[in-house]
Amino acid sequence: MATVQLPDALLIRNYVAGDESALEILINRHQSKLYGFIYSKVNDRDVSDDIFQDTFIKVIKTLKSDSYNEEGKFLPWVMRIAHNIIVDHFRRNKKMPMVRDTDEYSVFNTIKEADLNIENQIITEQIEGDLRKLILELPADQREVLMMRMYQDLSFKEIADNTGVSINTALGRMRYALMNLRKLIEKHQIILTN
Amino acid sequence: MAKIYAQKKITVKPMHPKPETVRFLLNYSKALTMKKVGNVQLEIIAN
Repeated sequence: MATVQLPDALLIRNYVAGDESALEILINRHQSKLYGFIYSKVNDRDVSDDIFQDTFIKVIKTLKSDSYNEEGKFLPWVMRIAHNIIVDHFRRNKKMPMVRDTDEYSVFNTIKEADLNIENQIITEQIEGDLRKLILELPADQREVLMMRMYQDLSFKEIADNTGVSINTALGRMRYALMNLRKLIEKHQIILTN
Repeated sequence: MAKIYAQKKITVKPMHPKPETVRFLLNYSKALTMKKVGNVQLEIIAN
């Protein structure tokens, strides 16, 4: 009996509608081509796995946020994302500055004394005020962890105990709180430096 | 010529990511919810 293979476009529609198994089929269908493509560029198994993962994280986020535009085919779109991540990978590795201490220069010389004058104090207060407003826009569970960590100086163990979740969950919420906070800062175009 | 064409084809085993990479992606997808607040997409991970 012949098996019917669902087209990518239909699987994507099902996935966006909440069918998680559709993603598994898409990954299984394209993993070999995509992974081979990545490996052919970076020649390293671990880096290939990282890039493969980052590529699909981007795919998942795009599909879940309903911003996938079905103009072209799925695989070329995924390959394009992978290609951009590969370019970023090479760019990052090439441009990462390496600073070494010498007899004449120490990296600690560049750290400034935290001596605030009146003007800097006012700016700092404004920044902290802006930040508090942004924090209020975060989802409740993320806001709770961030407030406990930043304002009450609790450890993640203490946060986990207080909120009744695991340490990993608390860490994850903190990570997403910071990521979402960055997005809110971008959205409101706030400059948080003095 | 016949010899060339009769040569055994070199078979290249297709490459795959590690199973844990795929497993991570599937779990990540299940845990992720995107929520739109104004113009911003917020990511919420359920643990």
